[in-house]
Amino acid sequence: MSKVIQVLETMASDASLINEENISTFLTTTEINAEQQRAITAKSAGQLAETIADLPELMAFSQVLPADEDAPIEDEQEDDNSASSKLLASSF
Amino acid sequence: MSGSLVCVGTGMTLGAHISPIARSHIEQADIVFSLMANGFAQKWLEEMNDEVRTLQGFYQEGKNRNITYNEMVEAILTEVRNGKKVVAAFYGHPGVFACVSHRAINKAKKEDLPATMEPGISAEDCLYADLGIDPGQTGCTHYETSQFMFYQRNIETSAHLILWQVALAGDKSLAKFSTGSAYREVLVELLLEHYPSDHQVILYQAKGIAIDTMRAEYISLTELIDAELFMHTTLVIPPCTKMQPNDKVLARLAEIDKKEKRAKDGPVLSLVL
Repeated sequence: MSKVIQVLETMASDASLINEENISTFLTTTEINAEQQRAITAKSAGQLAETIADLPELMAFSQVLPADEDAPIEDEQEDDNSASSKLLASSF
Repeated sequence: MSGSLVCVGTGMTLGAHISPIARSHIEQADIVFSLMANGFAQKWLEEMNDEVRTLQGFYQEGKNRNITYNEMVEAILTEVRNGKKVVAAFYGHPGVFACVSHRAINKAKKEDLPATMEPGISAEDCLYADLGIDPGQTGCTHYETSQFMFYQRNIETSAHLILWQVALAGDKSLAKFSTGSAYREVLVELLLEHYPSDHQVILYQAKGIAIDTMRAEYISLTELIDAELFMHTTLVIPPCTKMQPNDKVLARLAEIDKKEKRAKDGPVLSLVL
């Protein structure tokens, strides 16, 4: 496992790692580099992300629609006849 | 060999929330489809199984998300139909504000393919813990923000009102990645019909990784218009009124109590011969 991901996993699952002192001690036992240690100590997810070359940027939508429609709809994104548009329009 | 589908939740915070059974499903799957909340969690998942395929590529700005979600379902089910042991891993709970897993499971079952769901720790679960809200205390209603705006709702101001995906408030196109202050003004106007303008509301974001800080920012309702919102920001509106007693129901219950008491305390009758 990537060392830094392993560190994040351990920090999230070890109850002893909730105070700064224990975290600092723990970081000295890991094999992550100094930049990553600094980012973790600063609690900067942004800085930490910059240290991982191929970290994907993801979008985190709630997968929920204002008008849910289970049936697959046609690929007519701009078409007013799309299932979701019909449902939404019906409420006005 | 028949394929199968298990939808699992990995929880909100990387490493803190995943259940043993969810992890085991991920580790033993032939293919894992994923929708994670951040790159760290995606990497973490990829360490558990060599065959992780992210569904992120289906999202495109300007594309109706209903289409996106149906495409995700098809990608998942194609591999189940191919006889693969498929896991679909979602951040949080796979069945809470998560239509892809519900759609995929329903569709699989219609095709007589085995499909189940394993729960995960949701953003809602984290919200109760982080903000110290007990939904049982005064009640709690939840809506996707745009749905709340588009449809007539009875707003219960003595209960908590929680609006999810507030950054997309009022998006009828289902194709935007955020909406602006003009849309939020409409939301605030709607809420001002029921809440005072200085009512304190909370912008909430759960922790994604161990070093994140949970966001619990208190602002007045009108400040929502220009607030900094992200896709994962949730609006929490605490009650502004007290619960009003339902006198009619209480009177009926009192009558029943009285009858029961009379029956219990009444004289003991004995048969005298």
